[in-house]
Amino acid sequence: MIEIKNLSKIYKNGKHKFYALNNISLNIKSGEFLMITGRSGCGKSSLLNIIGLIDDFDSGDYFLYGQNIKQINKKQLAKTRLNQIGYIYQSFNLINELNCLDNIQLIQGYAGISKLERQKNAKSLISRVGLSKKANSYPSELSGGEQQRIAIARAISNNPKIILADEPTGNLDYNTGLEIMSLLKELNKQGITIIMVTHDRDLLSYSSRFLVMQDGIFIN
Amino acid sequence: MIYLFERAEKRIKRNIKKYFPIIIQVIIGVCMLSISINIILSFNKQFNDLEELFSFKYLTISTPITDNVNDNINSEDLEYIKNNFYPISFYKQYSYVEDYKENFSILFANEAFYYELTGSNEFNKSVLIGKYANKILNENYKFKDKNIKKYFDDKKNTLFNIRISDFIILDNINCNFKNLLSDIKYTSNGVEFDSLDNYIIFPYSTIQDLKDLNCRDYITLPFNNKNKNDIVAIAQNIQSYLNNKYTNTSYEVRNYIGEAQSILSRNIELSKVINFVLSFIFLIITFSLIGLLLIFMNKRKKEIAISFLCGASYNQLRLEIFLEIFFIVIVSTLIGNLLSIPFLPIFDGVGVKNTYSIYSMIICAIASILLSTLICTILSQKLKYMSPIKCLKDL
Ligand SMILES: Nc1ncnc2c1ncn2[C@@H]1O[C@H](COP(=O)(O)OP(=O)(O)O)[C@@H](O)[C@H]1O
Ligand SMILES: [Mg+2]
Repeated sequence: MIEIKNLSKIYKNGKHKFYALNNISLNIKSGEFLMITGRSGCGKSSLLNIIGLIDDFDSGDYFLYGQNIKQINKKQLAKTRLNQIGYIYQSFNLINELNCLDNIQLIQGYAGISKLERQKNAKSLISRVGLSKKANSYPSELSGGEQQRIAIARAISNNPKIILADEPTGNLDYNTGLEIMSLLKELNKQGITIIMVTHDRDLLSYSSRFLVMQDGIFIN
Repeated sequence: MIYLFERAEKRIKRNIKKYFPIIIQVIIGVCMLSISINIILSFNKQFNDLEELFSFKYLTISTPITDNVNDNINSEDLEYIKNNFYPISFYKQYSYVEDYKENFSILFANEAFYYELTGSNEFNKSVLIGKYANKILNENYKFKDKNIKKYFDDKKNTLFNIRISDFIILDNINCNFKNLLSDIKYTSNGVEFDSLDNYIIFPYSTIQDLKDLNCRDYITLPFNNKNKNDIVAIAQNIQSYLNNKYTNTSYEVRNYIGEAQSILSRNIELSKVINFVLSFIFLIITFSLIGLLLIFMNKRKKEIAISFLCGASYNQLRLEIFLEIFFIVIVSTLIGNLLSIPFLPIFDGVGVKNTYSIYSMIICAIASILLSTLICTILSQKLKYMSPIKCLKDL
């Protein structure tokens, strides 16, 4: 499903070149729960952003469903992002001005789904993450774990095939982090491919496969 | 599109406290703009209303009526004036004006006046009455002035021996009276022409002895287009001619319309100054408003970035911001504009009665639409450089 060949990402700092990703190759199959771990600054987020079509890369090839990403224009890229990939971030990234239901509807709203369908979907999603009672609360009224659940509900709202999660437990305490992990595991069982970045090796047991990164390359 | 409307609405509801200072600023700014526009429109309206009048130039020669026949202008004088100063004809009228106590005006006019007024000689012997004067007389009017009272017979219901019921109401005949009025009032509201609605016009021959009526003798000299440009100089010449000849009495030659016109032109100049000052204030408010909105939008960078990451397109984001700003500015504009109405009378003293004009609303709306568009253009320029990765790193 995802095929990465000899991919490099370079950050230029004046004359100085910095290889955040150095000639990386990687295959991810549908249905995997892949974890990427490694010390802070080793290039995990850089890789995830490239996989998520958020960032570009300097050399190598990236095929998503057999299609070469370099040959897709910006508009199609945005469309693929919207329809195929869900994102979960360390800092939740909910909009404080919108209540939970509205936050969940964000993606489908911009995708032009009708109000009725959107609301129905949002209600079923919020019960799926076990927060039906907080439907009309605002993010500031929720705990970190609850906010991340809402963010997960939003990430899966447009039925993506892939979920990318960058340190989803990074801002949570240990037990809450585990709750989020079991939620992700559940989604994975339902057929969603999950690629997760974490520096917490304790969580690796949730994955179906894991890769360890160091200075822009995989070491295992 | 509907979703974007909803989003804008929710945002405004949720952010109403943050928006409040901006809304107040816009309201004050628009209110000031609206006041200045309304004043200027009122000035212009006054000017336009009287424009027709200004095309008709005339001089009036007036003097108090005295016993001394030798002090009166005679036909020889009029002939002299006509030959030397080219007015096209003469209207003679006696006006009961001094120490006036009644609620209407009385005028004794010659045939030329009647002809000019009605366009025919048909009404030469009739008493003509304006609709307000007629209404007053028919409501059991009590004369206040004892000189006039003498000529009123309440049993026969006659005034100067003519039955009031025989008076012809001016509105019932087709007449071109506007041009004939020399009665210009200067009030705090500016220049007003006395309407013939308040007049009763008697034929010149109605009464022989006018001296106990405190009348003033008026001669109106209308000018044709050819010579009206030197009307001020002509007035001076006629005045010095008359005062040299009749040393016992003082003749006053006045160019009422010229005077009115100069006052109104001054008003227009004044309105430009008012406009400039208020526009300046408005401009300052506009700039601070743009600044405020930009700061506010910067604070919301996070929200915009998240929306962008959630798949909003550049156009959607732009439209969303546009709707939001637009709604706020338009609503504040309407409030500000309507708020200006109660403030308008404060500015009446500057020389015109200020009335609210719907055009001020339209102008304010256009101004605020332009302003919103400007703000949105600046903001969308910022949005153009957004990419998902930049948004993510900004968060
Ligand atoms: N925009 C950037 N410009 C320059 N260097 C960057 C930029 N983004 C990330 N880096 C560098 O790339 C390396 C990898 O970053 P990142 O992928 O965020 O690491 P991780 O997520 O594993 O902590 C880090 O050393 C970081 O300093
Ligand atoms: Mg990272």
